Amino acid sequence: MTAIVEITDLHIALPKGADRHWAVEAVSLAVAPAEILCVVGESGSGKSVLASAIMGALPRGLRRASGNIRFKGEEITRLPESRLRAMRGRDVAMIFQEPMASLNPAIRVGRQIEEVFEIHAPAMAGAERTSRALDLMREMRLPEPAAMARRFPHQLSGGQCQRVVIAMALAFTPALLIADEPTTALDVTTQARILDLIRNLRAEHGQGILFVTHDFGVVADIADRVAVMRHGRLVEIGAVEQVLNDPRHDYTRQLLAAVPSLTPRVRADTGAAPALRLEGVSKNFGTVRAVDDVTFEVPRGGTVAIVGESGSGKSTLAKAVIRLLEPSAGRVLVEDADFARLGRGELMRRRRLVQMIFQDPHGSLNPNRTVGDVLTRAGVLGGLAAGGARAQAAELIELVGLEPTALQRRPAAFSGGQRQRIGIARALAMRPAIVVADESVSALDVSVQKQVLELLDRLQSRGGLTMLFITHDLRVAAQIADRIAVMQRGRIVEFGRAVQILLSPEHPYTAELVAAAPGRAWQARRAMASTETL
Amino acid sequence: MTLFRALRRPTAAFGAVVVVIWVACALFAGLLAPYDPLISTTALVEPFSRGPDGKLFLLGTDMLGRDILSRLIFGARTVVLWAGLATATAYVVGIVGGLAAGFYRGAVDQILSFAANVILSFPVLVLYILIIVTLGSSGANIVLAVTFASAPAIFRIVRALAIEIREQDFVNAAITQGEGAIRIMLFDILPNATGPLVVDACLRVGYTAITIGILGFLGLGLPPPTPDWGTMVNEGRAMAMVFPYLVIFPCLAISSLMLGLSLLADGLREASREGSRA
Repeated sequence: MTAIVEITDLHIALPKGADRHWAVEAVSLAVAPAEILCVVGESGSGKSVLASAIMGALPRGLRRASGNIRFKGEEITRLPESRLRAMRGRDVAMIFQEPMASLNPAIRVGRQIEEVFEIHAPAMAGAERTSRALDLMREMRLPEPAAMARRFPHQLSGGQCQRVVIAMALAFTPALLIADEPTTALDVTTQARILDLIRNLRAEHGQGILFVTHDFGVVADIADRVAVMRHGRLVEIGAVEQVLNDPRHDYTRQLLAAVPSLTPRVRADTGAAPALRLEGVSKNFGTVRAVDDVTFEVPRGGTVAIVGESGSGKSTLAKAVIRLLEPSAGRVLVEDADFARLGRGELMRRRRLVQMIFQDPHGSLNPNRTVGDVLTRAGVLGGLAAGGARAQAAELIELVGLEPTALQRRPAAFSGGQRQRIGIARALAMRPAIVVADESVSALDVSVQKQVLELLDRLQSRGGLTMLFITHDLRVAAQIADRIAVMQRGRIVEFGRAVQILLSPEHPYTAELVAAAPGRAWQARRAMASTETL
Repeated sequence: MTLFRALRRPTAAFGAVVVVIWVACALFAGLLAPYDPLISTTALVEPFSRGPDGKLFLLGTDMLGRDILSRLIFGARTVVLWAGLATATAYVVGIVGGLAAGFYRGAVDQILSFAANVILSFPVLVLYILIIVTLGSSGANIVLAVTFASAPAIFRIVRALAIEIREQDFVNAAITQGEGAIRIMLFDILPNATGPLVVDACLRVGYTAITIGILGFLGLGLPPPTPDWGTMVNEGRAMAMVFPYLVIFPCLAISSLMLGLSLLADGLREASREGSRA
């Protein structure tokens, strides 16, 4: 069988002054018809650049230095722009990470699908365009296609938008579909459905699919073959079973080891008194009840993970606990004082007891202040004298695994994972009773994510750190939490030991979340294999 | 850093040179000016020619026989001093108001924004004339008038920046640490807003220089005989048909300063954009 696309020895140069010479270096691979090839790698591995190179649409500043790309046997690297434009959308189509950003917010979605026909089949009659668009929407299993076609993108959910984008991509049943992290921005249950859809489409139309992802769970669920990339180079390529179960390259092994397992860690219940008690906490925005009557306890030295999809109210709850938002009702008891009702002066004095580790490692540190300045100030606000705060800053920076010289630098000098360590040090500098971590590892690559989770774990076993850990990822929750609270539409639908939630969920929504966790079957096999070898 | 990157662009470097020349004129007017700007010699000597006593007047003399070059050099002192001072005062007021409105939002923001919008709805020139005519013409009143008219625009820029930066997690982190509001505004918000403000300040000093010129032209500038570019244009206006150089040189002075500041501001804007991309 001849390959749909065949890349040989492709080199793509980065602009001068970048941290490496090649964005993509000496990459050769091919996608066969009806095959899903997953390109997997961490940020900066060149996987997205590779995908855009096939479309002949490299980002500004990058250029192909050498190598060939053959599409159905035809060399396309030297084709004029007009030929490439005709191919895009007809023979090769692409779907992106952000479905909302891929659609024009001012045009009804049905019309946007029809436009694809207008571009590539100008002779087609208007009525036929409309009916073809509706057919596509039906095929994407969008409910009530006729009504849906008249809506604007903002009136659709993220998953529905991605279905519209896929409909546009498949309008001419292209031979090759390039999907660049198409499910990364979606909730897990939505992700599971979109992956299902992509698999079915492949079975019906026999497209070759190049699927770019950072998530080995997704790879396990969808790939036929896997290509692992690092620093622009292809380190390993092979059948999915071989790469996942018997990786040849050390880097692949490292990556696989870093993938958080769905198997919860088992920890003895300390029976410690609660450090944080929530009693009937609610938060209304106008008539919308974002957090609805939430009650639970976090024992001293323990970790409770709040798991939920976007819009479930988990971040609002975190902000209400830490008083970045005023709770509408209920009590937040920290050291037996109701944190939710403290007056201004008393709140300022007790702020240090509840600290937060934020999600975005880039936005959570002031770019103009040195790390030492940030940590020392936090110590002073936590009640230390200036000298003591400086000494503590030096201790903390070592504790989170950074060099003492880090104190003199500004945030721009650090990677995402390092910044997250600084964020952790800043929270600890206040000597808090409880730390709220809001999606604190979600923006990190898996290997970095693993290190940060291990750091948190180490801090916890060392000094009785109490944590409320907000995450959308059940796998992360499994790794960090003793107890898990599952949130849906503002309510806690299930609360219990991590083992119980993950292995025998009682609420149907919890069961759905567990079932949708990517790579679940593969992980179960892996867990089994590892217990056998023990 | 941004300044150095900006100066690598030829246009921005040219702008900077022009600005530096005028600032030097203002600082060292006494050393640079060939004559005393207030002493009359021979009236209406043409540029590049000598008076009857053999003195060379590069840019000629005005109808009272004062050396135009010397008056321009001393006039730079008026413009640079008062335009700089007035812009700085307007910035202090605009920044304080903008930070407060952007940080606290709510009632503080509504009241300040309403006041700013009311002032901005008046034509600027009418405001200036009203203030100067009411209070009399003096340096302090020019500062007051410019502050009153410019601060609302600066307020709006600072407010928009503050609202955006306020949403960043490092500000949330400071709040949850129990950091005081004033420290958050001064250490977390303001330093991260300086880029756009520096660019705006460059342009605004230029506008203020023009404004001072216009006030001088309208006879509302600094009281005579202080040399002032706008006043010089006004005085030369009557004879401009016969002796155009009386008007041309002060006009060139005003526009060269404005051009220099604009080119520098453009360069800074481009350079800070590059900086944020890198």
